[in-house]
Amino acid sequence: MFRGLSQKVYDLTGINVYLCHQCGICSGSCPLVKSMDIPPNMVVRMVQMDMNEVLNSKTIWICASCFNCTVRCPRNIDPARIINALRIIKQREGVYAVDLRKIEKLEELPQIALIAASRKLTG
Amino acid sequence: MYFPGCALKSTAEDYEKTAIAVAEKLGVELLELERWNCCGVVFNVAADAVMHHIAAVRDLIRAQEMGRKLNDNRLVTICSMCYSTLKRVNQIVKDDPEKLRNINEFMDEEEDYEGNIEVIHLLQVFKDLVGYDKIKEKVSRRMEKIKAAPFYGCALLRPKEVSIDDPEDPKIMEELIEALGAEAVKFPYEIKCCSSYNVIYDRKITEETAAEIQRAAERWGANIIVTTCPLCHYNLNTSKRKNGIPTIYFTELMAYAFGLEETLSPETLKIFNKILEEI
Amino acid sequence: MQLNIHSGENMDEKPRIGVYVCHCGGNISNIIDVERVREFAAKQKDVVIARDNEHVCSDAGQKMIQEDIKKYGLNRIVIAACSPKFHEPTFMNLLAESGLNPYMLEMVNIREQDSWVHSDDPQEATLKAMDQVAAAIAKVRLNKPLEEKEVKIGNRVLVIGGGIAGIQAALDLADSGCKVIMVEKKPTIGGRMAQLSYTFPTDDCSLCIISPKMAAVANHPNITLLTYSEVEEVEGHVGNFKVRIKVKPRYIDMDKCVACGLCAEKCPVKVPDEFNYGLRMRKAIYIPHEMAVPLKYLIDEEHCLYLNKGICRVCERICPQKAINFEDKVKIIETTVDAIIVATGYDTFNAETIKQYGYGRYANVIIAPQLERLVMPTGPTNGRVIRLSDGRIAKRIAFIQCVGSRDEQIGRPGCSRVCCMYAIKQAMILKRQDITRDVYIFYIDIRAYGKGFEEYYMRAQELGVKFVRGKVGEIIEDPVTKNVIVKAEDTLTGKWLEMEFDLVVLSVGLIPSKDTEKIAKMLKLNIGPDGFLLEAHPKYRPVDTLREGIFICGCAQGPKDIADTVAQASAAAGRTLRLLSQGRIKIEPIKVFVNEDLCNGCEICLEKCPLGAIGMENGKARINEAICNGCGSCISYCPRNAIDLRHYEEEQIIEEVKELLKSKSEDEIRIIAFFDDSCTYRAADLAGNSRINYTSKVRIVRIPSSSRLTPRIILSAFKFGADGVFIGDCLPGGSPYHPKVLDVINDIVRKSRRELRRYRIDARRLKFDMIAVDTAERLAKDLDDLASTAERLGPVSKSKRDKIKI
Repeated sequence: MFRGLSQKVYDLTGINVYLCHQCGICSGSCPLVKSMDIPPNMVVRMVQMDMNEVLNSKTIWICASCFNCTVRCPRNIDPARIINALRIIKQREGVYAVDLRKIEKLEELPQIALIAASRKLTG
Repeated sequence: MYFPGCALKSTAEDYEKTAIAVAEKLGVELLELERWNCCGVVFNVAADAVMHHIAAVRDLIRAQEMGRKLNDNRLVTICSMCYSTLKRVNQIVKDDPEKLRNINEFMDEEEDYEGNIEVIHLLQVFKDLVGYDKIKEKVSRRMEKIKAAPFYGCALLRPKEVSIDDPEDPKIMEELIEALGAEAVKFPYEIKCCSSYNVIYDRKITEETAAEIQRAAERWGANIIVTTCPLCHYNLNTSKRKNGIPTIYFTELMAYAFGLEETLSPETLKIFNKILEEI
Repeated sequence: MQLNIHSGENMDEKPRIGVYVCHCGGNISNIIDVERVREFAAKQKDVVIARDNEHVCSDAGQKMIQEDIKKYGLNRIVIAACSPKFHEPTFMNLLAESGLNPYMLEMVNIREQDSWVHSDDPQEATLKAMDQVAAAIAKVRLNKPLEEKEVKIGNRVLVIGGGIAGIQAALDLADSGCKVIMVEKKPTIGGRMAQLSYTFPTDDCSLCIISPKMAAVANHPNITLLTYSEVEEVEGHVGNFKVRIKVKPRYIDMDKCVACGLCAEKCPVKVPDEFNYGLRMRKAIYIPHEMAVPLKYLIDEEHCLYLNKGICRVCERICPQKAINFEDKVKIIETTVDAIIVATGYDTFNAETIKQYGYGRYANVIIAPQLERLVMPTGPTNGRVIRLSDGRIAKRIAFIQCVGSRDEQIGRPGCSRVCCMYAIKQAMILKRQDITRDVYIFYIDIRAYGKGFEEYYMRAQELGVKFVRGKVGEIIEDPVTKNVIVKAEDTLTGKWLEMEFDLVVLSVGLIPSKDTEKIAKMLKLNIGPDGFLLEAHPKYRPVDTLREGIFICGCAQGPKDIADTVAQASAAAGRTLRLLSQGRIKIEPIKVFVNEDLCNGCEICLEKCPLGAIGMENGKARINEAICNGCGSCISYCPRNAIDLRHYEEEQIIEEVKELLKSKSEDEIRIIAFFDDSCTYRAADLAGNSRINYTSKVRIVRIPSSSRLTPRIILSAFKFGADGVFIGDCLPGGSPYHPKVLDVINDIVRKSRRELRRYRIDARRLKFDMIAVDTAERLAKDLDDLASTAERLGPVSKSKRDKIKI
């Protein structure tokens, strides 16, 4: 149905990103938006426009899948899942956000963070 | 039956200890699964992510085996993230028999998962099975000086399909805190995210997020934050602020209220003592 | 009401059929061998005379038929000519004038659906004409005379709802001489419009422009006004609706009360005033507002001390008119009316549902209707817009748009159409009160689509109202200052905003009024997916309903502004007058009927009828023919085949199909196509007009709606030799019938496909498509595709066909 990045996202999640009408409530609801380089609504916009550079944004690794946007999205398109899909696209290219071997204070960190991070941030 | 998970056996030992103790006090026996593995934390959303669900399904099979002996199909989780992962995977395989068949076939050395286990969180056990009246009876200490702000985080509330309460206006912990005789401080950050594994990706993000949440809890009048999640617990206590208010597990608050000091770590006891001294 | 089957004609009378084949001045005869068709027809059973003629529709042609009827004693006529859409009424009249029942006619469309679409194959076109004529002969043989019943209609109209929609409709009708009964649930008419401050885009004072109309209703000699009343029950049909109205007790003698207000001064009970959304208190004895019509006090029985606890009665003592009557009781009024207009308006969305905006929890988060009251000089704060937490004047104010609209999360995906403009209006009022105020509007899109709206929007921008394009994520209240903090993204700069305000106004959307479902059930009206009452057709019948004699207008039909509401109300009045002015109306006789010998009273059809036209009587289903519109949705669900449609009976259709397939040889393929009369049949005519050729393998059956089909009909087509069956029907909204007929058709198709698989017949041989009147190409392609599928699969073998049991 689509081409490029929007099709890849569709294949992974079944989400039609073109349903987004860019109201911005995802960004308005995001607890981590201040740390992101691209706000979530714009991430979705860039997928709509098949802009592959969105895959290089920090945002896709910062999103913690808290689903605050998901429960509020008025078009029910689930921005958190779209971002998760972008992360999976990168992971399947072999690109990870962190190198687990280089983590400092490894012993102090809770296992749960390590495991969650390794599932989310690496392949 | 209950599923502990990694955190409760390491950084969150206190959580497990107090959880078992307060449950026992309330007449609930939490039987640890005889065998278990990591839940495979963090639900993978890709439609083709069958592999990512396998760990969780294996745990559900363990629960099924043990549940048969006990004649009970309820699997209690204590850690929020385990709750979310097990609950969502359980739901997915229940809704998609094809996926379940694939997973069962893949794990041909195991018995098949039949989809009958019900995943619940300890908070639901206290609310629905025990009831707040019974909890009130067990309180042996005056708690009114403790102003506890519940912090739910994400995993218990979202997405909607697995939420244990209204995802925009949860009350379950607030009611529990009130039942314990402490003052519940409802603050608007209660449903926020602690930044989760960003503690590994970029520690600064977590420090800032934790500080913001702490500041808010203080502004709304709390002197302690109560959580259900080992990761929220860790992250909130990682705040860059010095002398920010502490974060404890809800079971620790219960243990203190029930007079079960022996189950509390010295650090946690110190937190309670400090609050009482200050006032 | 039961239709009278024409008893003058002897049903056992032997059919004597006349067949007329038209040349249409070469339009038909240049392709089709008309002579051969006539010869073929003449040889058919019961055919007494068969003729061809240059123009059957001409005076000479008509005269010829008329003379034949007399001369040969014909009692059934088949005319093969152009589309029945042109001359069917002409020929029906001709039959009536000749003393025959007009329903003893069948027309065969050999122009639009034959010669004009098979010009590439005259041989096949002729064969098709012969098959279609044979089918028409077989059908007309079984036609029964039908009587069009007439109902007398008077000029009494019930208007439900006394808001601006009901008022406008009632005044239009009353001025035209109709007798109107207006029933309003609240103690005053005027509705929501009376609560508004000013109206966009003209800034008129709302109450000032509606109160003259409210007074006109009260004073009109042709209007009976019943306030504080509700319609409880409606039975019957157009021309004779029996209505039961409940008048609630006011405990005040309306004739005596002069609205002096002494009673309210002394009444000790204070309750939140609903007219002011709780921003002010009223007494238990009260008038809704100073301009109420009727301007009479009433006692709120929920809160009156005497009525609840038996003490007080101070009003009774103080009233100089002795108007208090604690003995007042519910009164029931029963009457009959000829038509009904439903103008029951809307409710505003309950903003407490959106927890993250804190309405109901945060004092300084209010809804737009409350602000309407706050800005009114006569309102609860004398026009001062204040923070509800501390009564201080609000300096920084934010509006949040689309609260309860355009939101799938709460199941309200639609736009409410008025919120953009009322927020702009309110923002300008706030700026005009104090230009130094900071006023922000957080929006998704500004929809300024109406006359003068965009200009109005520009004026707001001129005044310095700041528009931020971003839906607010959440609002939090500062625990100390009670300021409200808005968190949003300005999507145009990509900047995250966290802004503090004195007051946040939620622009709540319009939702169906809470009684909508009750009213729809009572009047057997339909509700659309948005929860509002559904019109008969979105374009051509916007104020009609599928029930004859019942009309809708205003926000009961969907969100709209005052101007659109008034236009629609006048339209409803106009449509009502059109109906009433006829004096008597004809009821189409093509309705379903129940074979009482077969019906076992299972009641399945009751649920399946989209119009609620089926009831039970003596353990049998009974059709209310005043409501039934002949869609046939009930038929295929009847487990005992006890329901059928007049003039398109199952046996008639099966006979047609059999004839259409009779000439087929074993090695050729043939398609039976069922065209619904409203869309697919017209699209097929259009294909003819546009000379779009399609497969000549197709044979056509005309039916009112495909929901009338049954799996049995479809299976018989295959049994008698069809190698493919096509079903066409309207797109949603295109049909004159209920939108639910599409579900019925899908059920029929599904059930038929299941049966086909059982007989090992490829289910792809059955094709259903939705065809709009103007999509002739699509229809032609569908038929060609089905023919090539059938070619590829080959003819259905005789052994398979013989196994089909029907």
